[in-house]
Amino acid sequence: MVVLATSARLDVDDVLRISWAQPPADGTALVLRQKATERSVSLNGDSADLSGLDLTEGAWSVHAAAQEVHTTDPGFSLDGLVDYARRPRSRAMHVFRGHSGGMRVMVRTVEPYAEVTAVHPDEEHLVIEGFFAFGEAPAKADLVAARRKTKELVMGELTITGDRWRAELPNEPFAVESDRGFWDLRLGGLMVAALLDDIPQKKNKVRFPAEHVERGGDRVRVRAYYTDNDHLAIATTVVANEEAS
Amino acid sequence: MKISFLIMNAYGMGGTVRATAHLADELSHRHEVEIVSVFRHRDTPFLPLSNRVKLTHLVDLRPGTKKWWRRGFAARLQRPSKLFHPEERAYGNFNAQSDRALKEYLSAARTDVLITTRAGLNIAAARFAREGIVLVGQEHLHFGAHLPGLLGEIREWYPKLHAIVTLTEADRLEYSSMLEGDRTLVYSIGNGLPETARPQSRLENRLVVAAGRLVKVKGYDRLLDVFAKVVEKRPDWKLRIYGDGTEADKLSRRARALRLHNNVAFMGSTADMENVLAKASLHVVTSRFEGFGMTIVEAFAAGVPVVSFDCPQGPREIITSGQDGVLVPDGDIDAFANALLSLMDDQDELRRLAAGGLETVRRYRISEIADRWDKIFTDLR
Repeated sequence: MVVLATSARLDVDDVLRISWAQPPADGTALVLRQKATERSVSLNGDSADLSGLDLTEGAWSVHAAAQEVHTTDPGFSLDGLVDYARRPRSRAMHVFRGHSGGMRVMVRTVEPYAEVTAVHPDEEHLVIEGFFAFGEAPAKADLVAARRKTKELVMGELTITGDRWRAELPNEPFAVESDRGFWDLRLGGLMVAALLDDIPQKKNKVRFPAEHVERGGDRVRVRAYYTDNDHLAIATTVVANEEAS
Repeated sequence: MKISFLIMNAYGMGGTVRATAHLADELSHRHEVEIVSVFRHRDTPFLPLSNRVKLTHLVDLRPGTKKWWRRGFAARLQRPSKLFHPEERAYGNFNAQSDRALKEYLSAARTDVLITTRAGLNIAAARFAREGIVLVGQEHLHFGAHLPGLLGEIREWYPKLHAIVTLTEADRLEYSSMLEGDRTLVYSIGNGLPETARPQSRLENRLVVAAGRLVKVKGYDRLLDVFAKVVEKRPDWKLRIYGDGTEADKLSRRARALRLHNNVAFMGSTADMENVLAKASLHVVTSRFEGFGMTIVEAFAAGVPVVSFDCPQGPREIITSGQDGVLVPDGDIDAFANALLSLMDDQDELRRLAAGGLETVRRYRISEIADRWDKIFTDLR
């Protein structure tokens, strides 16, 4: 017999709430398993409090009465991931359905950062919007783009409303010299990234339009992009006028 | 009885591969079943196959394979196919080496029933398969999608097949009329889905999903135009397009030109279509033609309504507009955008259509689909 859930959601207090299609024969405990490591948690009817469990990073499979728990619930909503991240915490978990149908709990160590929700490039500026995830708004409110290797800086303007922020970087100061440059962003000292949209490794999946800063005989192309870690960064490239597009 | 499927590349992905894998798996409960993949470019198939189904290949393209060094192999890979008509849509994938391997396989195949899965392979089977094998040609493309030169070859060679199986009733009529007077029997059987506990959408994410190769026929250029209109009114909705293909860069540029960078993501291929669909609230099909539309059935099974252009042939035979999805006049961008917008604003209607889709999908249970295939085998013996 299969143990099957039709709904499995983790609330903001890390309590796993389950609706059973076929409940486990012995519905008293859940076991989370990662390779040889097991953690047991009591199952109180349809809920299990995972907040006190010692769980290392990575995916944990879920078992009950010696069987793997299957689920027909994708496990999370995109709005739910955002609500969850609005609370300060150092460990973030979410439930998802594995490829084979098994229920999984993903555990990550997190630190406060600036989650990106929208990027708006225009002729003059790069506007970025988002909210503060897993922590409070920082005391020092500025946006800095630091060029890798040379550490040249471009400063942006930042507006904070509650836990939401809006940053504006001018394009022109990025036209610094005649080769390629990569600029990392820090917002009030925090990393700037998009980690809550369920699009991992989005470097080639989400691409932003380029803007150009005119110079004498050429232009500098300024384009926001996501790094291999899904952090938002800025790439600058010098292009001859006829190549600019 | 031994049944062999001959498929261009079982190691790749797409609707044909998924459908063949499901059918082969189901038939393997009843018969000895093998899948013969013309090409193999990776160690394991993108989609895992049941271990009851034997998987073999004819041309090994993996870089590490010793066959690369065999005399003439590499040169033959470079020479164009003479077996396939240049108008066969996969012509560019075939070559002199695959011609040789196919002729060799077909002339000596040890099987009772050979099911070939695309026009070029159907023609090759008709020309070269040894006597004594029941030859069934499956058509995953709709009749009207074949160009005139290829259609000439189809007319010449399909009468040598014992049966043609189309995915739609409209195509069955086309082929029946073409083969009138010949002994070839023509059947229509859609693709089936395994009856597993599939993930179900809560219809809670403001997410639209499209899936299929990034090629012109899938009409993603039209989809981007549609979504540009949608986000004017509903900028909170996102579109995810799953698939790889030759149009990837072009489509990405078009998305940026339409300023859709905050709303559209090109997700690449996925081996986990059912989970992908179950996160969405709407599935969209903007193809210029669609032989069947495997993702439509998969979306229904995930409890996700489908909005599709009423292109030939598949969507209109699967979707009952207003009952499980919406069919939009082919090419009408505004009407498509309006159909999406009205569903985005009407959760009750979304739920009603999703429930309708779950009813519709019962017709595509793989056990029933396999029963219909079994009946063909009985007819032909």
